Amino acid sequence: MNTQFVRFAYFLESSKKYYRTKSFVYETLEGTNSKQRKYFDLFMIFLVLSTVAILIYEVNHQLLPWVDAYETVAIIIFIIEWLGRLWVSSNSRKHIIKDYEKSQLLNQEFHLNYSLRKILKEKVSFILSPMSIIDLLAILPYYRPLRILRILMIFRLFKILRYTNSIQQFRHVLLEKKFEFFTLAILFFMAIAFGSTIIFIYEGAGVNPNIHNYFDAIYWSIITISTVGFGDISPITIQGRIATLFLVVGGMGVIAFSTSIVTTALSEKLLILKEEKVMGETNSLSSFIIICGFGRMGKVLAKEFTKINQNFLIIDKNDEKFKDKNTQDFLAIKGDATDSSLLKNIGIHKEAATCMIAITDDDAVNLSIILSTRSLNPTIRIIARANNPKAKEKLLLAGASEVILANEIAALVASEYLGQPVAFEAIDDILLNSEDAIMDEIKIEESSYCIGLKLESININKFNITLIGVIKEENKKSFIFNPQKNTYIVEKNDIFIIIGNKESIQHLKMEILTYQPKRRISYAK
Amino acid sequence: MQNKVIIYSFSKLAVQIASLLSKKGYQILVIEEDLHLIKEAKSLGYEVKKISLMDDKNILYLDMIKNNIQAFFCVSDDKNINLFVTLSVRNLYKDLKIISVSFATKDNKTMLLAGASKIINPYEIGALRIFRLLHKPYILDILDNILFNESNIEISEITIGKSSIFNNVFLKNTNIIEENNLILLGILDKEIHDKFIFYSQGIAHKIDEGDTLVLLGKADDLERFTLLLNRNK
Repeated sequence: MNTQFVRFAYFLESSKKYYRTKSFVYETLEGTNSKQRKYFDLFMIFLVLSTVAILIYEVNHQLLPWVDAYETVAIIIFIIEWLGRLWVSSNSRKHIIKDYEKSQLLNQEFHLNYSLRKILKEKVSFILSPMSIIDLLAILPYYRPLRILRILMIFRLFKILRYTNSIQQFRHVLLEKKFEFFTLAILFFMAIAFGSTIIFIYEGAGVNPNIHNYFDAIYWSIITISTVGFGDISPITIQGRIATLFLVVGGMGVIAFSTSIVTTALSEKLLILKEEKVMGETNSLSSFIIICGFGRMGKVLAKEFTKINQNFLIIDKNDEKFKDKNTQDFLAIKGDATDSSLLKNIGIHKEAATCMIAITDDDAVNLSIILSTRSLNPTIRIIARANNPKAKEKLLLAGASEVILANEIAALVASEYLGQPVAFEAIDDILLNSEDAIMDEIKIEESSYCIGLKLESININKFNITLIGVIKEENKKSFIFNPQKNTYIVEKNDIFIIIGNKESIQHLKMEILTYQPKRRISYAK
Repeated sequence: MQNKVIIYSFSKLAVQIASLLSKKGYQILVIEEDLHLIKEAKSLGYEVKKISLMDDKNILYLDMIKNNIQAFFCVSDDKNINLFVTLSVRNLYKDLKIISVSFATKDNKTMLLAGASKIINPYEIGALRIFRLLHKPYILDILDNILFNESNIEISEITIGKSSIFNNVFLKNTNIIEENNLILLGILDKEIHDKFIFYSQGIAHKIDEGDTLVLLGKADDLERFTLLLNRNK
């Protein structure tokens, strides 16, 4: 028997199908950022709300026959969900394998019962967890003979806690502050006990016609301390009124105290919540670039990326920089980009992270970012900024793919101004991507009608576009400057380097890439 | 007489500018107050004056006209000082080329208002370079070759003289630029305004004396074209 269990455990451990299935179920039910969980949660919220709506409708309406069937299906789904959660709550096979291997190592007899006890303990621990109890209470009312249990249907609403992140986070906030809430609860109960006892002693023995027993005294205390004050029971003795004053003042204190606990806890959690949200969004992206350092250079870069819908994530130690109205919609995290754990959390090691841009104004920090990134992802492209020209070599040595010296390029541009100020204007406009002139590239795809045509047939001039040259990608990326329009024949994968305004370039791209000429064009022989 | 430029404040950007311009044969005069930076500038072989340009007397003392100053680079790391000095220098020298640094695009307008002839924003240029590295690598390569490296393709500006064969010629009526294997990037037309107009914006007008053409081409072609252009009618 023992051997069969061990064999089965090893079989499961080596089965890829079992592993894939369990991973899928886990991702669907518990995965933090999985896509399927999002859809599953939405489906379950719908199911819960619809069954609760049926309960409300049922109070004074005759139910249609299909509604019963609907509820049966819903309950089956709830049961399957609960069983699924029970399944993925622990890895039972690992206990058996671990204990078996340990016994083999120590040359001792393997006791299956010992492993089963551990498995059972874990499963019971799951069954008795608050959310599991809520799940069970939501299923129980289906058992019709126990009509009284119908009210437990309301527990289904608590199930929604599972499916909405923000409510779960709120629950975590409350749990984190349980000591404060516990202290508050003790104070609250002490105040109730004192108030009830005082009013019962002075007004309970037939003095106050509305206080018949100790329960009435407790009821009065709670209504008073909560500052609700229905007025159905009012103190008539001076001692009772003094107790009322203390209770009302104490009640206000309790409300203020509990509000401040929740507010403080929420504000403490807000940053973490935002970070988790950003990380969740980042993990769902198919490709993104990381910008470390959101200074002046980072802002320009983010603006350019936004223009072309390039996904990016910003990391900066100072979150004040993200609060600008133009930047608050960016995916941004306050943090130290040299911290490997932070980089790992954002998924730097995954394929989706295509490039790391380290552009803080501190070369040492940039170097540290490069090393942390390289240690997690040896192949990712890293572009770094060197503030001091001497740091360039070190940044390259650390693993940067390219290093930018902003001052060097700016100086080159500035020096051009002295000799040729008008040419400088042109350079400046091109370099700064001005509205007047953008330098762009167009690749001639296989489907383009231009292939085989002479340049003059395309008539680029009609778009008010200047063709600077053509890059022959297949010929070691050689550049042909100003090709002759009447002799140059367009080939597949040619890259046209052009200057023009945005609209003209768009038109030309549309024509070259999608337009199919109706009239016959004479192809070059 | 050697061309001379003044660089106000020996910032990191100033170090780069001074290095480039001295290689091009310009004589550099650095104005700096910080003793450490003065020492650094002197160690690199530049002439340095320790004066504050917050006072007009000191600006006048530099006597930029008499000393044949070609340009004034205002590249302090402090935005407000740059604005103040740019305004002061412009107030005293109306025709001087003043190149000022700006660290944010939003500050460009105020710097122009203060009197800068041209604004350099190293962060913007650097960021766009990173952007091109990622999204337009071919363009970056070509731009680098044309602008900064020693390739045989150059960018050049040619001002049309009164007797030039190009004077009073309509652009649409001539193929002379194409025939010389050159590309016309654009024109600075003195008659219309002082702004540079890209050819791709659709220029269809007559070239007059004083207009400046910006051309792209191989060094030999540009040289031949310049000679041709300046040939008397």
